[in-house]
Amino acid sequence: MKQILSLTFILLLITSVAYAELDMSYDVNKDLLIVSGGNYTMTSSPLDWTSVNDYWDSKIRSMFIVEYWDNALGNSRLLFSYNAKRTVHCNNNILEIDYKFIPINFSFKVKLYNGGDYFEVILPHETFKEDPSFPIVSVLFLPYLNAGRVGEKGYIVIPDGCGTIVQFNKFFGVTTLEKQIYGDLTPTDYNINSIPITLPIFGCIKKNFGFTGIITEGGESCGLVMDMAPGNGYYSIGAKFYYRKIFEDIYRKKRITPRRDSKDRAVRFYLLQDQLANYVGVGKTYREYLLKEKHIKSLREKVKAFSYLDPGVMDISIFMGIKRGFQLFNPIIRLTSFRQINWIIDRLKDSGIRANLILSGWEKSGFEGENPTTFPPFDGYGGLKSVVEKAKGSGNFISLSANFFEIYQNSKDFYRRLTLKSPVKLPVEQNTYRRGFIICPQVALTKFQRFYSEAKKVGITAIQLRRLGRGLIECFDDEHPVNRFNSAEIYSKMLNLAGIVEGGCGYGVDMVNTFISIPSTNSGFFGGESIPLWQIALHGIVRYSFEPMNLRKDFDYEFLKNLEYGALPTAVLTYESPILIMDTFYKDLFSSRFLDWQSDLKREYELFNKRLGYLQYQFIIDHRELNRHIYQTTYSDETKVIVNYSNKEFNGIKPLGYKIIRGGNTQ
Amino acid sequence: MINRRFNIVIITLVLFLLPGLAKADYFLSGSFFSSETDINKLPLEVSSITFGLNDRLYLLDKREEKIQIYSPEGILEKEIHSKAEVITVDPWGNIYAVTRGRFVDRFDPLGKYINSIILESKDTIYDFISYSGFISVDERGYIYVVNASSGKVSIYSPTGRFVGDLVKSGYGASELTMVNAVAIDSRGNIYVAGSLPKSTVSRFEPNYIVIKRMDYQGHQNMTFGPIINAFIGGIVVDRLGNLYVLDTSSCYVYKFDKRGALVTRFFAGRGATCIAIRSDGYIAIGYGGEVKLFHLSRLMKVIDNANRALIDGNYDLSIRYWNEALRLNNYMKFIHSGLGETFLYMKDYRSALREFKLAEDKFRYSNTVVLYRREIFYRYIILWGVSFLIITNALIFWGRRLLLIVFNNIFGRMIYSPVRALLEVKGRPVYLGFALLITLAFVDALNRKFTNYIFQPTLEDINYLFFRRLLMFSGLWFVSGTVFYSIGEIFDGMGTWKQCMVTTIFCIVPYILFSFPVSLISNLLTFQEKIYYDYARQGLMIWSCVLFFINVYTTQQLSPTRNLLISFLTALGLVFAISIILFLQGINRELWGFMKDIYLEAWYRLVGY
Repeated sequence: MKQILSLTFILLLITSVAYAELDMSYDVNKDLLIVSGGNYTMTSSPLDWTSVNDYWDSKIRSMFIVEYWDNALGNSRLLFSYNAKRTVHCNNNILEIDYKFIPINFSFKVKLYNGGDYFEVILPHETFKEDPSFPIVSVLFLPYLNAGRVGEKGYIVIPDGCGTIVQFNKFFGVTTLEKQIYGDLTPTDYNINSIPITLPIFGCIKKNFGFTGIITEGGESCGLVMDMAPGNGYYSIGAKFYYRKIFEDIYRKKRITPRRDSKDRAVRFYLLQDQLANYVGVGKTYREYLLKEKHIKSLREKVKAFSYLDPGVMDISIFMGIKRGFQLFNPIIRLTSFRQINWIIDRLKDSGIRANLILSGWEKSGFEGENPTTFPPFDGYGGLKSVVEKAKGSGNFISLSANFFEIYQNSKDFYRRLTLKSPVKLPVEQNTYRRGFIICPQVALTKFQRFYSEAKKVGITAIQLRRLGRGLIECFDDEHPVNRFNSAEIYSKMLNLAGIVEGGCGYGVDMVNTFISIPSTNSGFFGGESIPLWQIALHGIVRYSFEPMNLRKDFDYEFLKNLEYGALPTAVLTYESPILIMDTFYKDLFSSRFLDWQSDLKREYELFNKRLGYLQYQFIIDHRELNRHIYQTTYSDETKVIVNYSNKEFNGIKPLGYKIIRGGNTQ
Repeated sequence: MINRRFNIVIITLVLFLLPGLAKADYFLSGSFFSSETDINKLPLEVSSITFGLNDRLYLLDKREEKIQIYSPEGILEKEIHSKAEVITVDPWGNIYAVTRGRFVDRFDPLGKYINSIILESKDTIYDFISYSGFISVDERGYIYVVNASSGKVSIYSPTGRFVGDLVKSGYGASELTMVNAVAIDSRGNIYVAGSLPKSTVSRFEPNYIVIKRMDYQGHQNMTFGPIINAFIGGIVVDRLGNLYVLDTSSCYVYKFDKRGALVTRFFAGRGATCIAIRSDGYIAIGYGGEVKLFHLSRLMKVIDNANRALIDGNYDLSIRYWNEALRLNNYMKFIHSGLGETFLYMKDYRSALREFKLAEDKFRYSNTVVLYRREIFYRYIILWGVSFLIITNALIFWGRRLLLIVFNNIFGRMIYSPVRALLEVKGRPVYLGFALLITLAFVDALNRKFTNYIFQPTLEDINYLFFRRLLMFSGLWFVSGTVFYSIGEIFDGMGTWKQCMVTTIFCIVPYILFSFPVSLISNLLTFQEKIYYDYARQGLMIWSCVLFFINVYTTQQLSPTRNLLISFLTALGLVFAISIILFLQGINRELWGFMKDIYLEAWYRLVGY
């Protein structure tokens, strides 16, 4: 009661901007933002906060937390907007707040824009005035907006991998967790295989009210910071924008990058109420944003331009060859030749499968032999052309898998100057399959454009770019510097040409038609439960698939996961047994012989591509747990897919079984 | 001992060098506890768990001093107050709660108190600091207790009378130095986990944990592991004889099949304390206040079915399951081992050998070789007899003529009259040397390919082997011939460079002639007989060296002292020359790299990326 009274009192005092859908108010004395929508109100910091000490009081009550570099300390420090000098101006539907941080002589102006059904927090770059002796590292936006107390009903929504929710009642014993969107920020030791945050969104749902935060500007250099109960008793999430990067030099001393990224930063918050106040609502809001604001085409529209995107076409990778070593007389181990691909096309035709065959390991030195990928194929140009012709004649497609991310020392084009450099100007090494380096995106683009024009001459349908969907990188080489904004731009250009990408990062979502090997779980970094947030946002807009069916480690569960999350099946197949390449550096292909998988391929094609193919054009409108380990996904045409992961029967659905209810009629 | 060392090497390789081979095949299903269970009654510290009859879970919470009984659905059925340190369930479902190592309370499967017994022991109660996995009960009601301080397993009768010690701690090769878990399977086999004695006093030597399987009389019949630097949190055995070991330091669960092969391992999550297995194969892992269930993948189910069919004697079905398992994962070599065992039961030794070879299961391969040899001998005994008669007759009647055909040429004379042959060779052209070189490379490649795989396993392609050998032998030939000639020149030898080259390569003739038959014969040898194979190969090498010594004498025509000196200096010069070549090769690589960089720099400046 006391809290409500104090809230009412504050509401009377504050400068107010009221709109029909959304009311937004700001209390300049308390640095408090109050947003109302319908019957609900959320605040930028919890009103029931009881004072602990000055540090926590300031932190919890701040709308912005500024991290700056203290040279004397050799580390970064925090400043809270609650302690800053503030002035506020109201201009139509925009609130402008000036923050002045006297101790470090730093100021910036924030615009709070009321867009009717959303409000947007914008930090224009030109208002950013810093003292060179106290360079700014990052600014955290609204870290305690709609924060939930431990034990309250609600959760945080994070697009970590496929998505995760962290309930307010779980306790992990960690105070703050921070993870960058689209992969590690300072790639001194770039781990391409870790699951990144894939979309620039987040959410916090408390009872029947919550928000979706969409990072509209600066998502490329942004992280999500989740505060968890132990420190202050609240769960909350905020977007942290990085202006500079902290890194360790060769003496392991902390330093920061001198250049500041000169981009505006903005987060748009949509309010979610009642039925929409859940993770499905978060995903749906982002989908609406993509369709309406970004004008991204739906899959139905894309299919008109690119027939290989038709749900009746199955993406099948054909693994061709690999080298055991790269010394003299090391031959290429052929698992599939072009002649055998022709044979496979015939068998696919017999089985009634239309496929987009993505050839990998076709290069002169085989799979991951010499990057960046170049022609000719190891089995001859003539063979490739004949395969393309045959595929065209039988209604199939031929695409090529290429790597413009890694480069190896044995590559013809290898030159240290082309490689990605860390902030200490040393080439960044990686060891995904083989020990090698990463190509600077700027260089990769030039080489890819050349490769693309050559591939198109041969009649290739699309190009699958390996790795490029797994995260952004930045190059600190003085000759070809690339920040994450440039990197996203360059990769988008490449993806626009290629059409198919491996990985699920959303920076190319407006360019990419097919995502392959997207994460089907969360990374475990934030804990919590996996949810299909990525899929709710992007189903019906792009095609996507998880692990190839023949390489599923947990076959039955992953099959059901495909059904639940609306993914299309894919496979990596060979003509010969992969046992021939077991002792090479590529150890993931543990079962791939075409004849071993032909019947499974047909069965899954019939189910996913034929029977459920129409669902690829539909959006996911609901996802829920019906019972323990029983999940239901509902599509916009009211088709329901129920999967049973348990080892007990549920309403006639057998253990590890499923049920499809199409438009109210059980099939 | 060989067996143990070999296992150590293999497991080290699998777990450290090739971690990718040990794929996880168990996946988290979720919490065991039902959401209907009152959250306030959930345990605070899961100290010990075990499944009883009808898949009821018995859980010991040391902190809250209670034993809980959960239904298979995860609903709490009963709570018993107990200060027990460890619990277990006998094959009839009775619960045994042990307090202070000696005081045992018995409850029926529903948690109703039956009686209490005190175990007779001279050891103090402090010796029995009990952890999960420290106690087990067999179907006769005999209680097996691990003594933590002395590292032994003591057996007590159902009335608590001391019966004897099963495993004593010690430093003998067959004993374990530290016992830390005991389990009994449905067939009465006893599994004891402990450390292998260290062979050195080095503090950095890893600690190898093995699990020994023995019958009720204590006779060991299988060893599982080793697992390196593990701390065993419990071992459990399922109905098929698969053994599951929880390592609480790395929080990995290892699964071994009944043949002792590592089937898989998976990460159970930080803080794992105890393990139990449900009748449907689900694994329960206890953590702080949580019990999580892990389900098995389709592959694991197929493998279990194959083992079940094998136990039931349905070999065809078993083979079908093994093949399905192989289809799901070609890389799991132990599946071939399972197939091999099935073929062994079917007495199809040839197929068994093939599968054991694919499984790289050298010991079973070696053991099967003995069976296969015997089978071939008895099956074709008439053929052997007839062959023997034919060969004997041929030797009697046409022996002399045959010997003339085979040995009356320059190669034959290298065997029985090397001086004469080498004098002859001196006049032969160099291309004969080249022909011999190619033959040598080919024979050596064949040797690598056809030697019994347990002696010299290789997966390399024959063409690749041939070309590599050719390159290597060409270099060696050129260097050794030239060095031989140069040293000879210093000592005023008579040999020309051409003569030195041709005669040098001819010294290898015995190796070319006999090494391949030796390789073929090696396929009928077992591990224990490897020594004969080694002797044969070493003999061929020594023969070639002796021929080279004779060659020095015939080619250079010097005194015996100089002869000896030239031989020694040639060997020394060969080592020196090879060192220089390797050094130059290193520089060469740098040089080429530098030139490539200059070219690329110029290209990128002029043309761009």
